[in-house]
Amino acid sequence: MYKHTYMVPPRHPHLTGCVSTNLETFRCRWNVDYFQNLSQPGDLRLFYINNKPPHAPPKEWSECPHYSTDRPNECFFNENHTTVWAYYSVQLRSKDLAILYDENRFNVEDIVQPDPPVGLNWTLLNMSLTGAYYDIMLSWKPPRSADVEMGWMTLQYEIQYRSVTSELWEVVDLVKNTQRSIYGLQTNVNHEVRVRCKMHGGKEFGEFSNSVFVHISSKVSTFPVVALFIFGSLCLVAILMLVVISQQEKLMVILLPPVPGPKIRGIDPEILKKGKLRELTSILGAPPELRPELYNNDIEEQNDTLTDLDTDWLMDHSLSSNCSPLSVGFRDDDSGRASCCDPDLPSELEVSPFHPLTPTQILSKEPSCPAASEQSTLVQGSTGVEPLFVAPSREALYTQVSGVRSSGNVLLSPEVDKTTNEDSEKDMTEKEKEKKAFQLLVMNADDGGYTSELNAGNMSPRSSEGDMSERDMSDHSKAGEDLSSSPSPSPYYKSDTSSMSALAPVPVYTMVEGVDTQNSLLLTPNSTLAPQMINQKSVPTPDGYLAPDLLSSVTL
Amino acid sequence: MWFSSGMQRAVWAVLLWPYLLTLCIPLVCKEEQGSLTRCPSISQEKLLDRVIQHAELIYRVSEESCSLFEEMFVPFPMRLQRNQAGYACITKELPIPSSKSEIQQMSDKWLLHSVLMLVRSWIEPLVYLQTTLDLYDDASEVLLNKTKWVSEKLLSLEQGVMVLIKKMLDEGMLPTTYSEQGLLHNDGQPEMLESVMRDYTLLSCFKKDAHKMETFLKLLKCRQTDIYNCA
Repeated sequence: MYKHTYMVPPRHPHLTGCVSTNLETFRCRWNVDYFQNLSQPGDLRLFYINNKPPHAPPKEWSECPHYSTDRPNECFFNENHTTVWAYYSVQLRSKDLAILYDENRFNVEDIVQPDPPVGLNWTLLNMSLTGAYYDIMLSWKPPRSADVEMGWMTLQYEIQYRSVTSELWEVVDLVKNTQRSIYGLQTNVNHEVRVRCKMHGGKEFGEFSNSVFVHISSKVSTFPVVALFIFGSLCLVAILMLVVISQQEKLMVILLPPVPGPKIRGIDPEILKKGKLRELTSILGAPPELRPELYNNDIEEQNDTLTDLDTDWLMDHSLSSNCSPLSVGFRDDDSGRASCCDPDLPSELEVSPFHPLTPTQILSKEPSCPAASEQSTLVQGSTGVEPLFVAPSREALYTQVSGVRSSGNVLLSPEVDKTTNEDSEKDMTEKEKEKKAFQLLVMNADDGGYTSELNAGNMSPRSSEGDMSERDMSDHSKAGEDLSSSPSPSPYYKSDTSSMSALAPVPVYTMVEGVDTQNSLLLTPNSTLAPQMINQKSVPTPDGYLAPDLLSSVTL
Repeated sequence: MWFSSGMQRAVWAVLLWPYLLTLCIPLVCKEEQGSLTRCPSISQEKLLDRVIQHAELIYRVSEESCSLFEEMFVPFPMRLQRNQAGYACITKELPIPSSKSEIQQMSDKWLLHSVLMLVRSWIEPLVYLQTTLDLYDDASEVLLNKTKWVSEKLLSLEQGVMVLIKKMLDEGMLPTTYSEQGLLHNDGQPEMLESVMRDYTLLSCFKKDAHKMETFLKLLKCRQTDIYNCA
């Protein structure tokens, strides 16, 4: 069926369409719209021609065989005038044939729209266990007008259903049979079902049949089911909780394995805390020879004894007991001692003719400390001491020089130099209570060597002279040869050490001015330097401070 | 349009699959003198059913091809103008009745022979149609496949009808004669629209005749079963 479509409402009469319901007859309808004066029968005439071109002369055109009487504006073609596989042209003309209002061309088999199926009804197939859903079997009969039995027409049916509350129709696929099942309809809901058909291979459907309503009510008791589910889930949860609680420790280990704290060999964990990144980067930026423990791949088990470092003050505890400023100067909160004045070093100090140096002496503080004056002379006359750096944290790699041997080795208080080398080393455990002294870097008397805090904490396993403490641990001193090979004659202090410790106390280092003829270090009296040292952060001052990366460039 | 042809293909595949099972078995077994039959003989009823299935499928596929072609190539105003003068269906000349009453008066023999005549008259034009469709620049795969499929199935339909004739009417095998379809062969290069309209007419005529074939065969079936009052 071909319709002329118009964009604007048509003002003149037009054909609304030609439709066949049974492939044996068809009818054409037209609309007059606003031309009410043409609504009289006979005012408009329909002409048709079939199997001939529409441009044939009007003589060959036939007029409508029957203008319908039951409704206006319709022309009915009965069986005698219907040729099924013929090509029809239909024209709507005025009474005098002068005006052609509309025309249409079609094949009869293309304009078939069957009547709706009849006799639609349903039967219950089965219901679900819960009684909430059911299935039905729909059946119907083909329209009477369509000659299906003879096979003249083959029809296909389409079912649509919906619950009356919804606007959307569910569409079931086309079927050729006259029955179809629908599954999964809900009880207690009113459903509406309708069916329509079209010719097999045809384009358009016919009208829908009358709707049929399907309703099944059931007493669906939802309570037991819901209660059962709740009960079951609660039981499951309870069992799970029991399991979790009983296996708590194991689960905690599996789920949340303990995370080791940050630890880098040779670096104070204090630095690794927030806000102290600059110190860390400056440490790490040092040339490798300064911090061999950082780059040493031989991981020794005794590395764990690093944790003891915080207890290993490089302080002179004997001094600390004597001189409070000293102790203040070396105080570290992580030391693990009960009080700063606790002696945490073995009492077997080598009491030698050398007296421990007090940094206070250097700093011109507390001249009341005993042997301060002696120490000062010692300092002057000794083969050299290095400025002391106190690392007040666990990674403290410094100690106080307690004295200098004639051989040029520097004794660091309060440790026993030789004997404690290996023994105490081996004894060291991770417990912070262990108190050991480190023998720090030994200054080579020949050089006006220096040590940096890195060197002080150096743990290269290089064996050296007996006085050197050969520690495999990162916190142990380096061989004297290292020191001698250290390029820089000028000492420096790590001002950030002081800042690392975050202590108010005065740093216990000074500057070495030079080496005298006896290979002893000449230290500058540092009263002026103290405040500088305190205040300085990681920015090195030009005078007296040598950055690690500049060390290599300095020649002796 | 691309989407619709993809959908068409999908729909086609879905719709065809039940039929594909039946079409796997050859419709007809060649029974030659002195040679072993290649397949077991088939009952007349089953054969008729099979033939009807073929005809139904052919009609449906031809209808789809016609719609596809119309969508793709025929401009809208031209869609009404098929079967105009000069483009009449090639089978117009065949003496085949076109109304139900006339058809009901036809004998079985006539029905079968009409079907055979129709089938034979379309074998060559469909082959020709395939070649012309290949010449189109943007003829879709689907359309080409459909026309190819139809022309193959038409051959097997011919075979089936011939066997049916032999069984039902106890006639000998009719020699395969092809009527001349000279009017289809055009010399020279027709212009695009003309060739489009010509092919369009061809497709729609074939669709019509496929429907005829299907209807005749179904009528025949009804008469065989004799349950209903088939006139």
